[in-house]
Amino acid sequence: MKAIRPKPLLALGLCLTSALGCDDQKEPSASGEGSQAIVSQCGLPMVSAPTAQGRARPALATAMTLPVPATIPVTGGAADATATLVYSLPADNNRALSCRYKRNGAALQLVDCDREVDATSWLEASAVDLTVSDPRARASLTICPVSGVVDQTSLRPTAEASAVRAEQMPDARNVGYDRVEGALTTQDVLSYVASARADERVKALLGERNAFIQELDATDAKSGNRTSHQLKLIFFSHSNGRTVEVTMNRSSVVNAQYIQYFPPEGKEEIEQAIELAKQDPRLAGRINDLQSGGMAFQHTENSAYLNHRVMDIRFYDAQLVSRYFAAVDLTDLKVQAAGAVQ
Amino acid sequence: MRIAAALAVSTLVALTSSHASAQATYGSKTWGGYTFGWSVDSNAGVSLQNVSYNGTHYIAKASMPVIRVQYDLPPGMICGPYMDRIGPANIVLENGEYVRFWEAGGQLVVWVRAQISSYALEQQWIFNSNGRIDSRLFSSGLQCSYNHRHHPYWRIDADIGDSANDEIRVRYTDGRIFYVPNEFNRNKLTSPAVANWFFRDGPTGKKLTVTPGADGSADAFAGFDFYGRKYQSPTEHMPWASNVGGFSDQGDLVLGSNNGEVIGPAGPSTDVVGWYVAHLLHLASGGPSQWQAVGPSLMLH
Repeated sequence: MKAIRPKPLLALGLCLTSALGCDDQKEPSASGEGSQAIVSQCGLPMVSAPTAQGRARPALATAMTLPVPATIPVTGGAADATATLVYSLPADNNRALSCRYKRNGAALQLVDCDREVDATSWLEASAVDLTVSDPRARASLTICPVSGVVDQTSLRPTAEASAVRAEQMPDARNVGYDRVEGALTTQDVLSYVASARADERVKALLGERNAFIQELDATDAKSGNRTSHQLKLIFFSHSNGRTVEVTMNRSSVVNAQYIQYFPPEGKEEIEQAIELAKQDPRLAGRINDLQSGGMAFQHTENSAYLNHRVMDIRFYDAQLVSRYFAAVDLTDLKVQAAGAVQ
Repeated sequence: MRIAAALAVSTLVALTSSHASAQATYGSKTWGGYTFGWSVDSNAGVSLQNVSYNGTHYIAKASMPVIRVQYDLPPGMICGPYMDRIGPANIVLENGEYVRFWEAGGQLVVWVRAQISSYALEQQWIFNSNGRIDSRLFSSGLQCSYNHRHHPYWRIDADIGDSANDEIRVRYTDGRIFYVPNEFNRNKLTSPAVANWFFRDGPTGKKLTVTPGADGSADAFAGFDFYGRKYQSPTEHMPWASNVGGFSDQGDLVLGSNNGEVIGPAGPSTDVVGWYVAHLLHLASGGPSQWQAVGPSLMLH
């Protein structure tokens, strides 16, 4: 027996239970030494580790081995003895590896491992602590081999994976998808938007000036069952400066309310803003041959248009270079700025 | 008011004509051991729902709810910031469909093309036969002729087996692995660097690993690379319960439950969601036609 102080970062790879095949993959400790004793630096009970078997495992390029015993044989002590093995990790602020054990006959058996916990005090205390709740217990460590924790496939840099635009993929062929009977279509959405706008509750919330923004699936993806025509319709009321959510069951309005939500620009809003921009004298005669589109300015605390619904309209050429712009305020129905893009 | 009324009529006409056909907004697909649903009706790009691989359910929903864009601008210049969201209003139809399903090189590529102002975007989910799904966002175009960064946010609601008993773990490049007990915001370029994050199902040990691509680094505008959150139903479709866009000036993603909720260890009440953020630098000197791509890989294993 030779007392050692284990290195704090012995390595990696965890064996969670013997059922994962630890016994079939005997592997030595990282040190490759014989019987070891690990002496706690905190005055906790001494534990010992039997000889590791086999040759030292060469470290993987992307991984090393952290020996975590699957079982700790114990003599004496209470029947409900438990232990916690903690590897502190100074290089990783305030985190540690903790493994929990429970008593199973003459051994403490690993229950759970690789828990990240706040462990500032442990970092200061020692490299490795083994705490056994019954001070009469004596434990020896069985070094358990690595069990395939590191998945080289999953670690593969995505640079090796595909990053090719679809149109440049050779021999690509359309294989289609499986249609869901009765699936919601854009035509359905249009019909439901019209129904919502005819509802008196919705009218009151929308005010005179408003835009339909988007539809949202109202079903829970976790249910696994898509109920195709339950949806939420999102509008923005420019009259009231608020977002309106209308819950629909097909063409029936179930509920309508204001919500705290910053919606994306709606197609109606972009169309409306482009029409306003085209009427601005600063752009007259300059944008006839250009394509147009736009986005809503993202509001931040320092936004120039905070609390206003402002569209950044761009008139761009065939190479997607913006030539002219207009900042169109749909709250005030005003072109705030317009001109050539510098 | 007359202007408003006229615009309302004109936009209604435009909307009607552009939505005249009946494109399905969702459907399903079976391919190479995968079964999954897809949809475009939450303005989160083409999202995947209830993804199973070789008979195991891994994902309740994987989507890309936002691409935040910020420009480096001289004083006095206004250009953004923007929150681009891909949805039916800006997806370019092909043969009357929103979503394309192409098979190429032994892969299934599920993709959409979108035009948002002067940005041309292509979003892909690439299914590989070994359980890996590569997620990609391609971008080109210049809204303004200045350097800028696109920050796509992928939301991954992993439900391995079922919605409970999942936790999020982080694996560093030196191999150490930890689970994370509370909601968190993290960067990948720590010391040592993060190799990946993974969702792990307690009862089965099965995992969904999120491995970063060559996805740039966080900055003051988009300050983190990965967020761990407890699943909250209201954030399923509207992640940002705020009228200022849901982002602080420091770039943090403010979700409804960013309150340090317990998300581990895995147990009956641990239903977790991860947000992965990439950072795509677009140099104006490269012109508008350059296409660049970012995105993580998801490994189901």
